[in-house]
Amino acid sequence: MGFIEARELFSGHYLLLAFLASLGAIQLAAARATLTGLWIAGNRVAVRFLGVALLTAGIALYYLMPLWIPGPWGSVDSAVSDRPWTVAELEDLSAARNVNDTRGGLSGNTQAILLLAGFTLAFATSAGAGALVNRSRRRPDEARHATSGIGALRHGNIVDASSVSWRLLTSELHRSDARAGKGTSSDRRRRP
Amino acid sequence: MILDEAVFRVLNGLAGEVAALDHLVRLVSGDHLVPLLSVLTLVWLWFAGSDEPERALFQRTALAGVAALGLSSLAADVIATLVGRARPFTVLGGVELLFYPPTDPSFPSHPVTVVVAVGAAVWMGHRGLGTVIVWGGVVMGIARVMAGVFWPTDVVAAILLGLAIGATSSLLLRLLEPVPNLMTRAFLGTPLPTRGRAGR
Repeated sequence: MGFIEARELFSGHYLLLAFLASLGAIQLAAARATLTGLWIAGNRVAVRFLGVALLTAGIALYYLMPLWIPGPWGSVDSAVSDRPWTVAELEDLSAARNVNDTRGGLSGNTQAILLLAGFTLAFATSAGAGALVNRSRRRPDEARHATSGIGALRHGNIVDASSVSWRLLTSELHRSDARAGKGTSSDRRRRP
Repeated sequence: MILDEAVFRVLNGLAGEVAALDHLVRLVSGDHLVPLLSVLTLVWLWFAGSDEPERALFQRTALAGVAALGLSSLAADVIATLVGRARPFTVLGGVELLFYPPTDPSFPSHPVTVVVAVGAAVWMGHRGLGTVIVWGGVVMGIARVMAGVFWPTDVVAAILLGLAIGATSSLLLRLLEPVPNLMTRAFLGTPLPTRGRAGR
């Protein structure tokens, strides 16, 4: 097994870690801020519990997977170029994920891309599940329209929140454009 | 340099002595755990504000954290290329390696710079979380010295560089206004105040 296979294996595992851990972090934050539009369960206690469980499970799974999935685990002896892939022994588990990016491990840039992908998937999952779980929740119209940004997820789902935020943002931009235009014309009028 | 080597010898001398400590060092010094937890803090901050002022403060802090992450990574790369310091295990004999032998230059410690910079940026908006992340970076740095892949001065320089970049990243965001504000709003962010509330 070569560099490409090792990189693919690490990338898949890291993406799973990024997804589960991001989902956990989003759920913990959504429980704190009462963002029901992102809740993947019906009440705050369950959301908080799921947040902790997902975060812990993501990290635990990532570090335990070498026990049953063969790979180029641990590489203090990375001078050995063509090591056969094996599962890690329990006593070597702490070193299993320490593989140099020159030998199929993940570079900082690759980690950043996978983290972003994992976060995007986690946010989409939260927003989709939130819309389903809370579809019966009654939302006061005035509350939905008074709040923009993430805060709108307290009263509605992602579609409501996005449309309100974009409407407010674009109307503000138009207003500021109009003000700028007006200012320019009055400046022009004042000039001799 | 003599002091640097002496401290390195003391810390690296602990490697291989106690199995449980070796496992802890391997986990903490790894490329994934501490950096991931610091980035997850930024994710949490983006969503966790319970009212509008707190949300705006937290989102500005998260944005400053992202800026600190990018800037610190760039700065560490540039300095490492310019200085080109060799790793301790390539210079000294009898080094106990608990980590893979990295092939890039040693000074300053890249992962410690990034984690501390994110922590310092977070500290500007949330004192508790920021402190935890900065200490996470410090512990990661000590673990990497114990693992035999960094000199102590690599870690000290990384901490100082990270603190400086993290502390100035929110200032940089203010200089770039209104771009950060519009970016934040476009991604469901809350309008950013011109002055942030004091951190907690």
